[in-house]
Amino acid sequence: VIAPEELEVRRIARLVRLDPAELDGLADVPLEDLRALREQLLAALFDANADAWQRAVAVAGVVPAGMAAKLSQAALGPVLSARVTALTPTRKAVEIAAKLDPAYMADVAVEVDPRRITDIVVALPPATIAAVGRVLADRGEWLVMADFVAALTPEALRTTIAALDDEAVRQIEPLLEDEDRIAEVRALLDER
Amino acid sequence: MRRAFDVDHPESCTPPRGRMPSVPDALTALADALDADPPAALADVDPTVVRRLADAVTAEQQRQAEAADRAVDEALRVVPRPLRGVVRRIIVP
Repeated sequence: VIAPEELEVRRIARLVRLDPAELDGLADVPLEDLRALREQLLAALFDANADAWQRAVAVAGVVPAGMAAKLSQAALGPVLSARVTALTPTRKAVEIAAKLDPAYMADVAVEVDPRRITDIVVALPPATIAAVGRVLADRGEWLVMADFVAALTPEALRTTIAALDDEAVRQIEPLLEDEDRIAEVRALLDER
Repeated sequence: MRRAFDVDHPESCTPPRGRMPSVPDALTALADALDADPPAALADVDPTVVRRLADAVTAEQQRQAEAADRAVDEALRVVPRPLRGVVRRIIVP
């Protein structure tokens, strides 16, 4: 099991594109302070240029979902799409997601804070989430996957776990922080 | 509002070469980048690490701002002509 402080440092490092080793000593900061720092970082990165993100959301509202998906990939890219997704109405976001391929959705997933798009994750078809999960597993993005587990419905969790091999699930399990979710994942593993 | 990155004076976000940042300097740089005071416990972290974090935040904000500018041109290129006027009115501030 990895210490929650260490997990927070990994999340912080990913947010600002540093290697966790470059933040030596940060894991000694109390967990609640690390969490507060990550919230500040999220605000600084997601809320900076908020006007631009809102304009992108407005564009998505006037073009068909397929065009919005094309704009996401061709014009915004995964980082800006992650910022914009957090502001996009759930129904529109799900329509756009249906037009995106899982590899690109995985690119966006790495850049987004799952807690900011919980409504969208809940509304996505479990098969879509599982497909993105497979891509993330192929890339070894275990912490990203673990952070998304908290946002999944039981059905989506079951579908995703079923789509992963045992090794992938064992990589994710030590990174989960919610005891209930850990129990659910273990139960699904035992069902195999 | 604090200014996160001064494009006219980028050296303002980088400590003088060869000198270790002090704890107050590093915390101030991070507060500027966050536009908020970071948790007090960060005063116990190596100021070089705090400064590195501050610089990484400002660099990421700068990358995002530049990417947003590029996205406007790219979006207008991608959108079909019949929709271009509507999109332009929305995304060109």
